[in-house]
Amino acid sequence: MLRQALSLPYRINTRYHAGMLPLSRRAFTALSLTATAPARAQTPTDRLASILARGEVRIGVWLGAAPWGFLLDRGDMDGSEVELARRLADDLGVRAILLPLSFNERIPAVVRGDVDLLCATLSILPDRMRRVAFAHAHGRFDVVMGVRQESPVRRPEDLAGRTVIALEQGASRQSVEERFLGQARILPVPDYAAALTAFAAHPEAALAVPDFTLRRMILDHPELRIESRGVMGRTAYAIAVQQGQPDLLRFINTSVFLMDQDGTLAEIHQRHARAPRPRQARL
Amino acid sequence: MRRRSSILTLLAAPCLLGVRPSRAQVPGSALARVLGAGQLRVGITLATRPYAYRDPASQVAGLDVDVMRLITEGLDVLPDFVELPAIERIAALREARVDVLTGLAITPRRARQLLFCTPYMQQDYGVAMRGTTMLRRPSDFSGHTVAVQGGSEAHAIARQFLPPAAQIRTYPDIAAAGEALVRQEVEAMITRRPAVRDLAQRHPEAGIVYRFTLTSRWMSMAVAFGEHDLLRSINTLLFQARENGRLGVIVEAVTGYPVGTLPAF
Repeated sequence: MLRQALSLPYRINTRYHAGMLPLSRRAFTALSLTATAPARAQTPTDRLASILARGEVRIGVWLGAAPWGFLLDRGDMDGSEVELARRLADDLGVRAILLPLSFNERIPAVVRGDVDLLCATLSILPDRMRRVAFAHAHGRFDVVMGVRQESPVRRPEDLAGRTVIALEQGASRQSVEERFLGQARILPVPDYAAALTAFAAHPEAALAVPDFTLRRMILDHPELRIESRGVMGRTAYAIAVQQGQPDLLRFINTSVFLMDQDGTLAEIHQRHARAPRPRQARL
Repeated sequence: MRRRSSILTLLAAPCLLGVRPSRAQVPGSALARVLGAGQLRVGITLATRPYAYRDPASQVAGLDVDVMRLITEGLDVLPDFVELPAIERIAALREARVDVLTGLAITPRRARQLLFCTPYMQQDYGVAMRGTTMLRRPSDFSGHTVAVQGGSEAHAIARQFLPPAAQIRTYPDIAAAGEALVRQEVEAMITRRPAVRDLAQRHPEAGIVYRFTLTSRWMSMAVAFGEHDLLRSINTLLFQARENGRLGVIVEAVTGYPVGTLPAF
């Protein structure tokens, strides 16, 4: 009764019978019925195969900002992305080799094949998507505006005509460009240390950085009297691989899916960010 | 047209000329082969009521079978269910003896060997026993006997959650493990919740109960590495079945529970 209600095909457990199918299918079947040598076992067709064969995975990480990646006092790597990288290696059943990369070296390193994948807070941006293959997003952050406490700029809309300091190739810069369509002057910098130097030198300028990063700057540099005043954009980040690695990408998406569903990603985020993990949009 | 078609058939069937083509699998060719043959070879483990089993007319039936028919209907091909022991399923897929597996729990260990499709349901794995047996938590199982289907996810879960001193006994399929519980050869059994309900209904005299849940798993289909066209086709058809409600009807009819909001990847 259920089968009828669903209008499912009634024929079950049927083998192919030559007389029942169109002629073109008969030709294909004639080929398959003459098989002799056993089929070759299908192993992964791409970089996943070399990872499993080597017994190790080289993962590019970025240690430029807590809570994602940073160095502890004793020199060990830590952070939510660093921990995720290690969990991914566990799922692969191989040893993790974590390779720290500068902010601007992340994409070139994976494109060249110096690393097998990036787990380096790589924001999903169109120009990056043309160079790497993104897995499903596993994290998100807000890009916020930071100004001096005495600044007349009260909200992001007031930034028109003003100078905004942002990482030269980051999602923060893109947020500013999208929001102000050329009406704000962007002062690009290579890293957050340079951002602070520029902010100290230009007291009228604003910072456009991730929310966690601004909180850290406020705590570490009280002399700069930084205050957060509004969200300028929101960006998702994901693991990335070289283009043309569909088996590896599918494995990563499977692993991220399971870690999302069983609470591992939430646990990692809570431990490092000291806050609940925001809801993720699907890629 | 008929004569031309006959010539084309001859040309397309070199076996008739004494040339035997190799069956070496070309990665990425499964979808084309399936559509050309009009047939999808489905690796499936039977005797796992209510998921996949032979009905009284010896026809293949069950939840996993019905979900797979949604796929073959969408591909406009016929299903060829190839019965396999659980322990041989992945090898059969990797050796191209089948095109797809169904009724597989998604795990990282398996994901190193095949490509998982998006899930079609979530299943609780738990412990079944007679109502008079009072084993209430995993730590109670030291020195006690537990039946599982060998090579299955239930077997892996038993090893993960039960203490080392638990005596895990493997059986070729869920039916055999269930019979061992009914005959009191073992004190408990680890399997999926709907399978316990089915066992209890078929053996009311045994007083079988589902005592507690150990964990849950997402259930899915899988294809071989490199078969991304076939993977994408199955994912698209599963998406369609979720959206139009047909998947929910199948799952709820068998399990008694609504399918809920299914995540996708």
